Amino acid sequence: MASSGMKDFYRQKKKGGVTKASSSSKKKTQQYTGGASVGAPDTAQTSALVSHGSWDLKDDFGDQEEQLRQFDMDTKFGPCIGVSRLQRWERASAMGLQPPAHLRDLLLRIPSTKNRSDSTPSVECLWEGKV
Amino acid sequence: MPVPMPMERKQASYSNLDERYGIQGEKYQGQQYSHIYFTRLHHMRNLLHALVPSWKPQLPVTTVLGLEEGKDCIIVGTLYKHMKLKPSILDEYSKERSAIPLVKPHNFMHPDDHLVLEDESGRVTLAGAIPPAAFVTGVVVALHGKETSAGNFLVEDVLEAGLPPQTALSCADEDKYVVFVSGLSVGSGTFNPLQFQLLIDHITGHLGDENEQTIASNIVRVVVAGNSVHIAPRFVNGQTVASKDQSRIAEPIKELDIMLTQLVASLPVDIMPGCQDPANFSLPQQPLHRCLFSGASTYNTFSSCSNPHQFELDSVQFLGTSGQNIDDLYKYSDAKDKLEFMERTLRWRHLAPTAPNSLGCYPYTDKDPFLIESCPHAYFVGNQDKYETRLLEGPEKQKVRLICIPRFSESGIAVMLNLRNLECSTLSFSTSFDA
Repeated sequence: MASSGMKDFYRQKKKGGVTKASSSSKKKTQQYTGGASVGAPDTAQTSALVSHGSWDLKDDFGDQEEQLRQFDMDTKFGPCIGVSRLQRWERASAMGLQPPAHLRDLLLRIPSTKNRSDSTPSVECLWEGKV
Repeated sequence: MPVPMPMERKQASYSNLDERYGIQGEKYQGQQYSHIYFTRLHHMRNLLHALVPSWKPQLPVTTVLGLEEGKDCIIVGTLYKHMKLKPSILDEYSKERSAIPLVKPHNFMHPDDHLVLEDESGRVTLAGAIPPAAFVTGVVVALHGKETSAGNFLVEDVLEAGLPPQTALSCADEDKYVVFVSGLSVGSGTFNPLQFQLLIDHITGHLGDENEQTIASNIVRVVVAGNSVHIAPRFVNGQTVASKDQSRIAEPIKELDIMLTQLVASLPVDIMPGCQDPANFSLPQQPLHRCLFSGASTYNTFSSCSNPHQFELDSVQFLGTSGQNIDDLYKYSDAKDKLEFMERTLRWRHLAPTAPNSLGCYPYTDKDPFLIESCPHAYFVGNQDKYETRLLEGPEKQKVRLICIPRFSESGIAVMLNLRNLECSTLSFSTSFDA
């Protein structure tokens, strides 16, 4: 009784990609496009490695995203997770840490979520949704 | 019979400075507490770096990562106190039977406790002239010392930020009093309605002779510092409350409202939430909702305030809490009395250094509201075991009146502070004949 209640309570995440362990062996062979092999069973790793149903192995981000990731990883400006990139930039600026000025312009120019292509940088930090 | 002269209550100009403790503008986005420590360290390091040249000008300032063995230097960072008795939620899931020694009744201290200093670059275990008993997690200090061959940092001297700067107190020539009361616990077994009624009647000038009434007329404000009501534990155990009990939960608050209404009809009252009041748990506690006080809130003399509470009365700066910050220091460190804990928080320039480690706290991302930027003239803490007070004097002529307010329901004591000279006295009420 309790377990059926749990299923209703927690939304079942696995929609695309891997569905069940029984059918996973077939699907695995279809999905391996890159040569990299992952040791652990893929159910544990799906959310990190698979995005939009394809393996996220090539760097599909642009130069701007690269700069913003460098900004995320700079410990001088404080922890990056839990705040948006712009908020973190504003905080660093208010503290007198002088974050790179061009990044603010870049962040302000990011289009809203609707008309985005894959190469536009994200408003959230590198780790957002991944940890 | 001569008609007595009408007496007029004195007034004092009041401004509420609680804005920094509000969380209305905050938006929770799943952030964790690292941001608070980052902003705290950043702010405090700027302060400490400014003090180092006058403390030890010849020594280089470095980071934990830049330490070199045997070289005297200064490092600035946040302290972390490693405590083997500190309760951990993970202990419940431990498969092994724990061999942790028993905890003392009031305190999680143990002789093996040690301090660790951390900054953005790393952390280092401390040894030497820094007693773990006098410090807690979350305090930012500058340390002079050197790295030993074992990889520890041997501390020779500690620099705390010290008392913050204070605004000058303008000289007043007349007596004006503020009354502090806390731990009323209306609804508990120890609450004595007659005792509280006596306090109210005294403050409102319905008791005593002309002399006493003159003193009462000099009272300009009452501050109720937390734990005003006591709600029976069986109502707050997470179970659904039966409909016949629902009105009973509200009874203590209704009773408190009736009492407060008598007070606010005669003078301004500030009420702060405490750990047992129907307010949020984590600091800063937000003001109790006005709808809880249907009678008192109709008066503009009634103000529901946050905890911590900061205000100004006739240029005298007040800062106080309902006691959680000091109670938590008492659990994780040691001092000769509660006033010493209070003094330490002022010297560390932080009202609640153990938040968010062992004290609930809102996860701010851009500020640490508990940093004390200017030194108050009166610093009070509610819900303590006994009344204690001391005048603390700082190196730059700062004068702070420290006050521990006892629980009224247990002691029958309210504290009266004179704004003219910051002298403190008690108002004590007893309703038994043998006392």
